[in-house]
Amino acid sequence: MPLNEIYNIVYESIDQFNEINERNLEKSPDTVLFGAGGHLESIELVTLIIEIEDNIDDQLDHCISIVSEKAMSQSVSPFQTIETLVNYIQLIITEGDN
Amino acid sequence: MIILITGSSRGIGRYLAEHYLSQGHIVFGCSRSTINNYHKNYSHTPLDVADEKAVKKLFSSIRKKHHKLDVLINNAGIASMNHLLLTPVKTLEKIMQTNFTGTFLFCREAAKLMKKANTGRIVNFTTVAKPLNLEGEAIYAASKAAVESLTKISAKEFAPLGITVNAIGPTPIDTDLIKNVPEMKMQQLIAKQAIAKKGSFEDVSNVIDFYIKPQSQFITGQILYLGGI
Ligand SMILES: NC(=O)c1ccc[n+]([C@@H]2O[C@H](COP(=O)([O-])OP(=O)(O)OC[C@H]3O[C@@H](n4cnc5c(N)ncnc54)[C@H](OP(=O)(O)O)[C@@H]3O)[C@@H](O)[C@H]2O)c1
Repeated sequence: MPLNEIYNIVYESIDQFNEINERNLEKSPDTVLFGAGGHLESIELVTLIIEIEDNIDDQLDHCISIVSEKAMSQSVSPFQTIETLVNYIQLIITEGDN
Repeated sequence: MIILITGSSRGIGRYLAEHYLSQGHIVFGCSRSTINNYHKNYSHTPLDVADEKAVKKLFSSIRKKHHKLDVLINNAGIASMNHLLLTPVKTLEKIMQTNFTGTFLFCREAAKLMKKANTGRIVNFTTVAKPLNLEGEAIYAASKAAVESLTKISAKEFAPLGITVNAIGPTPIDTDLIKNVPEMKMQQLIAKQAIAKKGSFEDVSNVIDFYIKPQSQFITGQILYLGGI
């Protein structure tokens, strides 16, 4: 799965997230999502993750769970930045492991 | 409304499916067994409620078709009556998986879908065996105690999302679930109720109708037992 395809879906999800929540989360790999210096509250992170999971399901026909034990046990949290999130999504899609 | 009922192949779940279909609602049902489709507004998915992948797939298909879910009824459940000393771990695991893990998975996935519309109703199933602390039902009652805690805490967590979560605790009702309970044991149990008789399917649907009606948007985190416990 090419990374840019996942970036497109994540950015599309951020557009939807920004619109629904009247936010202005920046679409850049370095944007800090969650944790120290993060732009999102936990409930906002959940909202964004749900948008992304649904868009991946719609566009790539992959029914994935981004939040999992595996996600929690990564040495770098997948939820740190947009880049870490995209890399993690690519990993679980490739492994078909959810 | 779009209504999802687990364990809808027989017993209370089957009755509830027919009840809501007869009112013109669209009903999604599931159970491990396959059943013949008997109504144009009913679709059945064979799955185990504790199978996360299968559950996610079911929600994905509801979302793609209707973009929403109004009501989830977590009815699927199993029981086993046995003295604690005669209860294998496998039995405990099966009961917890179906009654608790299943209810949890459906609550979680339903809330993701309901959250989008900022409204939704979840009804879970407990039993009078829990407050009555019935001997021989330790594992079954414990699994339903877990469902009750899940109900009360998810009611708090889901309230900001516009979703209510409540539970119904039926008395004995004639279904496959209780057909092997000896009649004497059944009579002893029923005698503990304020109204000493078995319940009916209609007693259950009456409570669920109340939980899901629009005026009940301020009712959440409640456990309602039939029969006067
Ligand atoms: N009847 C009573 O006296 C009574 C009293 C108090 C509470 N309750 C509660 O009411 C609910 C319904 O009970 P009931 O009396 O209608 O029971 P039932 O007649 O035995 O029906 C149970 C339903 O759940 C389904 N089911 C069981 N395990 C499942 C699994 N792992 N995955 C998917 N579906 C599963 C069954 O279908 P498959 O076998 O095809 O999977 C069936 O459709 C339960 O939660 C029960 O604890 C019943």
